[in-house]
Parts: sequence; C-alpha cells; structure tokens
Amino acid sequence: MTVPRTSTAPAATTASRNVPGRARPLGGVNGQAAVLGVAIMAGTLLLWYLAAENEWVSSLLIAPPGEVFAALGDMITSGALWPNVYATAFETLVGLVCAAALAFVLAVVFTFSEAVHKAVYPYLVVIQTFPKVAIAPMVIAGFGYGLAPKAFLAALLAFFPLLVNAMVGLASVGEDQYNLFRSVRAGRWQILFKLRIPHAVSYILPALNTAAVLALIGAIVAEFVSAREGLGFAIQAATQNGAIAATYALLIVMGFFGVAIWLSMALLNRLLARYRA
Amino acid sequence: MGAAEAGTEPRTGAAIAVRDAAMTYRRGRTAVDALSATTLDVRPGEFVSLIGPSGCGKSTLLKIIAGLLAATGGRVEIDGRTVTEPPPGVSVAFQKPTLLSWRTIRQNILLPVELRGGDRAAAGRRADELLATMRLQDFAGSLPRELSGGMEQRAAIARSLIDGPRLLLMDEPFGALDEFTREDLNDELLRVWHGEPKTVLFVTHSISEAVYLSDRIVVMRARPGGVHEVIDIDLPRPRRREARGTAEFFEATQRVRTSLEQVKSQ
Repeated sequence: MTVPRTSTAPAATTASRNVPGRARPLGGVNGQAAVLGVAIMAGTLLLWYLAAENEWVSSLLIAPPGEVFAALGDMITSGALWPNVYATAFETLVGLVCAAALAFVLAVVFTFSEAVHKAVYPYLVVIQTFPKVAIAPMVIAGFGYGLAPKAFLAALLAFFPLLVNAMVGLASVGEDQYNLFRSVRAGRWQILFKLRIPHAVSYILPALNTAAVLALIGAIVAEFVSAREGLGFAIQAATQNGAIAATYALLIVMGFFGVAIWLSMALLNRLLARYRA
Repeated sequence: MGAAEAGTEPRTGAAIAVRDAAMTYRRGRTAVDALSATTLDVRPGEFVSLIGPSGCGKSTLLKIIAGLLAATGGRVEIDGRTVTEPPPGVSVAFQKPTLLSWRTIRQNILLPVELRGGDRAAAGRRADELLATMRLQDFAGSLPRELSGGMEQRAAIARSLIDGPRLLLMDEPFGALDEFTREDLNDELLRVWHGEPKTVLFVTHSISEAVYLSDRIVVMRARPGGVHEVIDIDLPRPRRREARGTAEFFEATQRVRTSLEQVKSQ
C-alpha cells in the first residue's frame, strides 16, 4: 500500500466538509490514484535499479534494490531490527507525550493569565529559534546515555508547534460563543472545558502530526550522538561499516515510521471528527 | 418597582429599567459615543423591539442589559436589581446561531442547563418538547453542520428557552435568514411567547418584523446613539400571518418608517 505523505489528514477533513457521502464512481479518483501510486513506486525501483547496476552513481553511495531488500529481510529474520525499532518508537512516544502535556498545560496557564503569557512567551520564542539539534551533545552530556536525553530532544523539537497551536486554539474562541457562555453565567473552568478545549482540538490535531515527525527526528539525532540501540544508532553503525545496503534498508524502515505516524493521526482525526472546524 | 416579588411571581417576565445608560469608546484622544444617556422602561411580559440605523447603539444597549458590557455611564436594573454581571433568568440569542459544532442539536439546546446546573431529567423532557415545538425532533442527534441556517437558528432559540427565562434578549436573531424562513420563525417565537409569557427585547432591522412582533417599538437614532421615539403597536393579539396584509398593519409600518426617515435626515 502506498500512502501519499503530502496529503495530510487535516487538509483532507476540511476538504470533505459539506460533502457527506461523496459519490464514488467506479474507477474514479481513488482507482486512478492507486494506479498512479503503483506506477510511481515501480518507476522509482526501476530507476534505482538501473542507477546502481550501470554505476550512474558510485557504489559507495547507492546499493541495488535487491541487496537492500535482502538486507532488510536479514534484519527482520535475524530479529536484529526489532530492538532498534522498539527503542526509537518508545523514545519518540515518550518525548511526544511529554511535549504535548507540557504545551497543553502551559497554553491553559497562558489563557488564564495574560501577565504570565507576556512574561514567559519571549523566552519560549528564543528557545524555539535555537538550533536544538546542535545542542544534542550537550543534552547527552547532561542527561546521560539512557532514555532521558533521547526523549528530551524529541520533546524539545515537538514542543513548540504544539504550544503555538494549543494557544491559538484555546484563545480563538468566537466572541458570540464566549458571550453565550458568560450570559448563562458559566465560570472560567466551564468555559475552559466546555468551550475552549473542544474548540482547540481542531487546532491541536494538525500540530500533533507535525510534532510526531519532529519528535522522531529528535530521537534519531540523539541516537546519532550516543546510543546502544535505536534506528539512529543502527544507521550510524551501518554507515561507519560501509554497509550501504543496510543503511538503505534502515531508511525504508524509517519511511514506515512516517506511515505509522500518518495512519495513527488519520485514526485520531476520525475518532475526533466532530471536533473538526 | 417589584423587587420584592421578583422571586415569587410566576413567570410573567422581568421588568427592565434603563437610566441614563451611556457607552463611550475611547480610542486614543477621540471618544465615540456609541450610546448617549439613554432611558427606557420595559414592562413585565412586554415584547419590545429596538430598531434604527447602524451605529444607533441598539446592540450595545442589548449587551449592557445582558450584563455582557459595562456601561460607561448610568445604570440598568432588571426587576429592581442593578445589572453588574449577566443576571440569572436572562437568555441571549445572537445574530448568528452560535451553536457548538461538536455537540448535537439536543446537546446544544441543553448546554445552559449543563452549565447552570439543575434537574437534568426535567431539562431533558423540556428539550424534547422544544425540539418538537421548533420542528427539530428529527434532528435531535444531528450536528449543527448538517442543518440549514433556519434550522440552526430555531435550535438557538430553543436553547435560549430551555430554562424558562423571564427575559429574552434577541440581537437580530433572524437577520441572516430569507423572508419566508424569517416569517415562519416570527410565528414560532410569538407562539412560544404566548405559551409562557416573558419579557422580550428584540433588536431588528426589519420594520415589518418589528411591527408584527412588538407591543412597542423603540426607534433609535445614531451618532450619538439613543432613543428617538417609542411607538405603540395596538394590533390585536394573537397575531396571525393574515394580519400582515391589513390596513392597520400597513399604517403601523408607515409610522415606524416615517420615524426612521426623521432619524436619517437628522
């Protein structure tokens, strides 16, 4: 199955608004997309094969598809792949969850206190403009060699888009809706839970997608610097050993990470469909 | 005025007393008078419309009475109590339906009860009655995005009626609807008002709507905003659609029109 990475789930949901039960003629758009998707994959594989076989590209940089898939098969059958997949997935998830929780709590505090918002936000912008990847060695030095530094870097990268979208989502409630709640004498917590948070869901979901990808990058970069397992560690090891085929096999595995993220976001979007804008 | 019996009286509606209420917006050095010292009395159970050109402060006045906006001068009393925050027993209906998109129609209608607290079971029964009154019973479980504009506005009206308010403040609730839908909703609103008497203050741009619904029409002027004239509408009640074609109805609309012309030429 090929999943087009470009068509993100939030865009798809807004596009299909007002079109409940779209008519799907046989061999319509979906059929064409399937054919085209398979064609793109076949074309890429063919080009890849020819480039490697005819040495259009140095064999130091590229391995033929056959060898790559063989390497991938080896990793799977030997079981060497799974600890690495598990480690990276766990680091990414821990980082993402921590970032989401902190961003959400901070966004709520900001909506309650204009003063705190104005005092703290500039510092967050400074942190955001920081080249966070560059401080990875320092993070490792500070947090040791276990899960902590990887999750920290993942969280650091994922945090900002989540914070900004949560802030905007919580604050951008319509004046009439706000007045409606005030007119029935709702308290600030009622306004938070019954109005602001449900309203913010459609802002946070797309940010969660971006943040998940950034968290993955953060975890892998931290693994590059220092790790005993994980996909970043495995790629690093493969590159240093000149195992080009294994490197490409691991890149394919990372591609599946992206697909997994995309699919879980699509599922989450479906579960929370009634909160879409 | 009957502050003492406010709690004990059956729901006949609240009395509004506006005393020299003023609203001045300051932007740097310039001050804009959205509403200049305005005085107005609305009797319990009365249906009063506010009409006037844009900038006459009718929505501002409504928001001040609703306790959503603090006047910069004067005061407003509801049943003898000065308004400093949104008072209990008062519902507001906005120009837009303002339904929460993630709640079903029934859940939207029940929102005020959920927020204010109260008997859930009784509120549920009342929600079902209101759904039937507003001809929305088949859409109780639908989301707002699945409804037409007229249906959404009917749901918003049902929501404003859910806990039997003594005062209903309506800010051009039917302004965005086509003429036919608007007349339908006018009839539904009157039916509800006759069924459970309450005071209604209704902002509108439509002369015929104001005449059809109101006991009195407050014609407002702009710059500075304020009351120009109050016109009594003595058409017999209950009013039915046929009343719109009568000579008396036409004569009443002419009086309002003339008054609005005076406002414009000022």
